[in-house]
Amino acid sequence: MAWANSGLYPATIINSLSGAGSNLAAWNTTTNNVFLTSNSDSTLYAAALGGTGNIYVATYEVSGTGWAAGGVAISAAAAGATSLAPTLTVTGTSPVLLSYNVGANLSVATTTLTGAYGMYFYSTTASHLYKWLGIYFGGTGYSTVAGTFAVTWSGLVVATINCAANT
Amino acid sequence: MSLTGEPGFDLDKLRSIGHLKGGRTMSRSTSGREHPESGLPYKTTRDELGNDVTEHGKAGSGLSERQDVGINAETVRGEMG
Repeated sequence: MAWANSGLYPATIINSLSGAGSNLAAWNTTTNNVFLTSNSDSTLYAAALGGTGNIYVATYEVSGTGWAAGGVAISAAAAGATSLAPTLTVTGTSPVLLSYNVGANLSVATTTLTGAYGMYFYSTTASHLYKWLGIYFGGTGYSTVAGTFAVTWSGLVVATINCAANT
Repeated sequence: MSLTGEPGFDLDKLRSIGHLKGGRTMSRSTSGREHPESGLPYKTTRDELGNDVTEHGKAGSGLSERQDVGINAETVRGEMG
């Protein structure tokens, strides 16, 4: 199996919408992490909450100098170890979009990493390490050598959910 | 001799109206120095996926002393409406 696309994890979204108490994977919590995996990983976006593919596992993780196993906290993933400052907003009237935004792009300095094909956002709540978003890098394994690993989002918009189509 | 009868004739020019020299997915590189006089040399390559790999080297040596990666990510788009 391999990375093939970016996507959202609907089981995690349902968890967030259904009021499951302290186990919610809140998208704007900066103690959550991002982690990288190789092309041996399978995204499995249809996975059940807590099931294989839905949660963080280290099996195919890419980590190294400057990027620890388990990933980097959202609070420290922007330049200068500052926060990505994620927010959730409603934009537009036609269509109406629920937007998951960041205040700063990802930029982690002085890393040595080998063969990263994609990245996930996931909750670091103990025993509830739910992924909610996968970012596919396009089909190449990217490597750094004592360098900066960066991800830039167009308009600082990481993801949108179209809640009402064009009229 | 090619099928057109002209040596070296680019058949891609016959196949498409919009011909892209070098191909649609050709990588592009830029290079220079981080400082015009004393800085380290660097080379940035934007690959066919739109992502950047930048190699930094010591002056007068080969590159790859340090390597940065810049992913240019598309917004993930879900639909409910």
